[in-house]
Formats: sequence, structure tokens, C-alpha cells
Amino acid sequence: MTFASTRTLVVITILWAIALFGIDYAKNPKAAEQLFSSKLMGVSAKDGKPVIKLWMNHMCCTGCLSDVTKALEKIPGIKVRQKDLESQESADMEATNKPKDYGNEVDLEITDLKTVDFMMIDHALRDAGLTADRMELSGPRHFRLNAELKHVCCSLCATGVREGLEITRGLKSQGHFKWLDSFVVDKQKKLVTAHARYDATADVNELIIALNHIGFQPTAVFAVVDAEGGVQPNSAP
Amino acid sequence: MLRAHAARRVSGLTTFLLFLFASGVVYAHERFVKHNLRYPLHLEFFGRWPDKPLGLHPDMMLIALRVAGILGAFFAIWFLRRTLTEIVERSLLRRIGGSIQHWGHKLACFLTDRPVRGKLFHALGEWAVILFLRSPGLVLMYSATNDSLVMPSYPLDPASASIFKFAQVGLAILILTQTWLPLCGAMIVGTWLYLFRWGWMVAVDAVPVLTVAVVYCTSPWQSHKLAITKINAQQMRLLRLVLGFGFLALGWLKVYNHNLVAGVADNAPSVLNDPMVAMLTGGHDVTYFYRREAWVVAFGLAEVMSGFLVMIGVFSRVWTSIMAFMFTKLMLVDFGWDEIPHIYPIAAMLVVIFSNQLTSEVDPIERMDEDAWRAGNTAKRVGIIGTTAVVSAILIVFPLLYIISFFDRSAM
Repeated sequence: MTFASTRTLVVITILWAIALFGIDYAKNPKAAEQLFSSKLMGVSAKDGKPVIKLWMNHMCCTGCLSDVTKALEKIPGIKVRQKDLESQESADMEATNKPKDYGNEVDLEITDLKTVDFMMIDHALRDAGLTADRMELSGPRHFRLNAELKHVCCSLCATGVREGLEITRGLKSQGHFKWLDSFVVDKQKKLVTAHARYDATADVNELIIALNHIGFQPTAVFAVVDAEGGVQPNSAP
Repeated sequence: MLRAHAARRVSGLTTFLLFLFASGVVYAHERFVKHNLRYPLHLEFFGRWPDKPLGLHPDMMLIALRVAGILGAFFAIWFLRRTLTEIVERSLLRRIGGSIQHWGHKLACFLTDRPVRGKLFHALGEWAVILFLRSPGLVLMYSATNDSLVMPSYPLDPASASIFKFAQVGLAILILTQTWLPLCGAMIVGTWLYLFRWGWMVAVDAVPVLTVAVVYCTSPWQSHKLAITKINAQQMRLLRLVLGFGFLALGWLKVYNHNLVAGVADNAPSVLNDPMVAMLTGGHDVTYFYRREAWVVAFGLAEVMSGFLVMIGVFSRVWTSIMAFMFTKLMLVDFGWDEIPHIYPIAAMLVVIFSNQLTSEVDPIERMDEDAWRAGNTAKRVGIIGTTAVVSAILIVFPLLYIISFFDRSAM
């Protein structure tokens, strides 16, 4: 029977820790002074600039992007960031090579997150004949999504929403709702508040689809940035 | 099965790690566990109250006094346990006789950390060791499938998630097949060191993970060929020290990082009604202004107390039984599936509960007490027991509580 010496254990421990740090650094390169900076460790962690990314399962050329830009130009608080895509003329030619994937990402510049209604984005895209598969919000470290429901007429409705959304727990193991920390249903305000996990990227579409699945259509979905360890407004006892 | 000198070797490493932990003072806060406060705490409760004793809020002071009182009482009873059990066994159980005497003796042995004889107890002890040694593998697998590192409350960065997940699964396979356990131990300690990258609070939160690493590190390289069902006295001592220290540190972290703990309670309000914590807070009703604040301090200090007593080996079985019950309740009743990784600390506690290799760090004091007992020097005995109980209770509770009250944690 042979046992590990203290030296062997210390060497393996340090090598393994260095390997983990190394992988972390290689995948998220940062200046050494930033690696252990207070920001990364969480002191007074500042919110990043909010970013909305739309994943469009179809976005093959500038014509598609142009339609999306046009559809979203009237929505307050956002602006479509232009990107290099196959030109519409080129995509229209028979000799054009078929892309591996017709999908593409569309970045939205946010001028005022408070005014951005994700339902308006969804409706505008559908009216333009397109849909976003994912609407991802990231940047703020603590935020929540407030989904306003037109119909919550009784306690059973509120319970129905609450119980229906419980499926999100089960779906986490299948890779969905990874961003969701918890949710609160407010019958009086007809509001579903979905608290995102710290520093997470929330797929707003997942929330909308889940609400649709349990029989409710949100009239509006807004993101609200919380302060660190912040106050949740609608759930005081 | 496992050599004692290997345990001694690794004690150097443990001491080094404990020192590293103690000296690793940087400022940060726990980032990942569910802790959304639903409404703010009354932060003045945790700060300075210049006109009050020690500058602490009177209710916090009362909680601290209750904890210190219980701590002191347990110390005193520990030194008197042999006298007390002899009195009970001789004057009461012997008269009754039969199976009641038999089971009463076993109960006394159990409560006072003496070896308990019995096939069932022995079998449960072996099973607990098997569960304890393998459960980290399950937790790692669970974390990997939840895009987390070590615990589901530490989400992985998407850029490096795949590598970390595969690494965790690899480690889990080694653990579940009991292969190269010393390597597994070193990897767990290395992973724990990496957690400092996310802040010292994250690392403190994960200190209990090191408990199993101590046993792995002191196991033989040929562990895959062995049926490890026992933990020797040296390993048990290390296990108890690390486990107890982990919970002691977690307790102080709860008091320090009050928003996080209160946020957890906001998400699972049933924990506010815990009877043990209510005993420490004084059982205020729901209208009490500082209800959540008092609960946070009482919960934290309860963990400090139980962690400290386990660490030094005073009524280890009693305290790990209480903790195992609490953790099981949190897992099954309060938090549900989200807390399924609690299987691991529960397994660690079961190992202590069903071990017949328990020792105590206060043995030298107890020997002094015994000498005084044999010499018939009652005054000296009272002095030893009283001083140890009072001084320990005061030192464990008040200095840190006093120091923490100077820190402004409002931005955490």
C-alpha cells in the first residue's frame, strides 16, 4: 500500500489550481491585474451596458436585416446595429453558394432599457414576417423581467400562472431557463416578475413562450435593473 | 486499511490550507446563490449602537449571550459527562435493569461520543463512509449537468464551461470508481483554491468540500482495490476539524454577509420559523421589527456554535445529529430539489455520528480535570471547568461579533 506524500499532494494541488486558472484565463483573457480585481470579485460590481441580442433563425442577407431594421425603428429605446451580411442582390443570384446556416444574430443598441418593451419587439418582427428565436438580454448584473398580463381575474388565475411557471424548474435540467433565479406572481398588479440569476443572460423569449404555453399572453415585458442585493419592489410581506 | 501516518502527513497540508484561508483577506461578496432580497433589511441592526454594551444592538447582544450560555453549558456538561452518566447508570438504569439499562447505556455512550457497540450501528457507520466517499461524485455530476462548478450555486462562465464540466465529470468518475483517491483529494483542494478567483466568500462557502478531500488525501493510491468502509482516528480527527471549521466559518459569513442569508430566507420563508433558531432569538412573533435581522444573527451564531463544538470534539455526535437533521429538513422541506447537493454534508455528518473513532481537542484540559478529581480537589475542578466554559464561550462569540459590527456591509 503506498500513500501520497505531502509534497506530492501539494504539487498536484498547485498544478491543478494553476490549470484551472490557466483555462479560465485562456478562455476569458484579462489583464493579470483585472483577474483578481475587486470588480471580478464582486465588490461594488458595476453593471455592464445592457445588450439585447436577437437570434433570428432566418437572417440570410442585407434585405432581411433591412426589414428588421425598418420593423424595429419605431420602437423606443433601441436601434439595430448594422452588420456585414451577404448583399440582397448577391443572395438573389442563382450562383450564390448556399450558406451553412440561414440564421444570424442581430444586436440591438439600447439607448434606454427602461422603455424597451420586448413584446413590441416581438410583434414588430412578426408584422415584418420574421421571428426571433431568442431575445437575449445581458449586461446588468441584477435585473428582473416584468411581464404584464392583461388577464388575471381571480386567485385561481394567479395560482395557475404560478403553478404553470413551476415547469421552468424542471426545464432547467434540459438547458432552458438557466438564467432564471425565481419568479413572483402579483395578482393585484397582474404582473409576473422573473428574477434573473446574478450576471446572467436572460432569454426573454423563453419567458414569453412559457407564459403562452400556460395560456397567458403578456401585454408588455420590461426589464428592470436592480441594485446589488437590491430591493424587490412588489413582494414585501 | 488506511495508515495513520499518512493522516499525519496531510495534517501539515491542512494546517497550511487553514492558514491560507485565515490570511486570505480580500474584499468581495458571495455572488451566486439565490439571495434576492424581497425588501431591504434594517441595516442599523448590524451596525454600531454606541450607548449599548459592546456597541451592539441589545437584541443581538441577547442572542449572543444565549449562544454563549449554551456553548458554556455544553462545555461544562462535557467535563462532567462521566460523572453524570455514572450517576444515571448506577442510580437509575441499574435499578431498572433489562433492556432499558442496555439501551440506556448505549444512548449514554452515543451522547457522550464513546464507542457504541452493536451490529446495526457498525453497519450504518460503514454505509455512511461509503456514501460520504462517493457522494461528491454525484454532486460533481449534478453540478456539471447544471453548468456549475462544484456546487450548483456557482454557475460556470459559458466560454470555459465545457472544459470545466468535462473536468468535473472526470473527477467524478475517479471518485465513484474510488480510483487514485489522493489525486481526487488534491484536485478538490486545487479546485477550492481556484474558487478564490471568485472572491474569498465563495471559497469560505466551499470550505466543507475540503472535508472529503482530507480523507481522499490520506487514502492509498491503490484505493480502487479496496473496500474502504472505515475511517481511522487520525482521519476522523482531520475530518472533524475541517468540517467543524467549515461550519464555524460559514456561520460568521452569514452574520457578515447578512443580505445573502436574509435573501435566501425571503425566498423560503419557512426557514424563519425554525424552532432552534427561534430559541436563540427569543421567539419573537411575526410583527417584531427586527425579525429577519435577528434570525440572520441567530442562524449564523447557531452555526458558529455547532461548527466550533464539532471542530473541537465536544458532543460531536449530538451536534452533527442536529446539523444532519437541519440539513435534511432544509433539503426536503424548505428548499427542495435545489438543495439536493446537501446529500454530501449530510453524509459527512453521518460519518461522524456513526463513528467509534471520535476524539476531542479538549482532552488535555480534561486530563487536568481528572487529576483534580482524583486528588479530590473540587475547587480546582470547578475552576478548570468554569474557566474553560466561560472563557471559550466568550472568546468564540463576542470578539468577532464586536469587530464585524464596525464593517459597513450596506453595499453588499
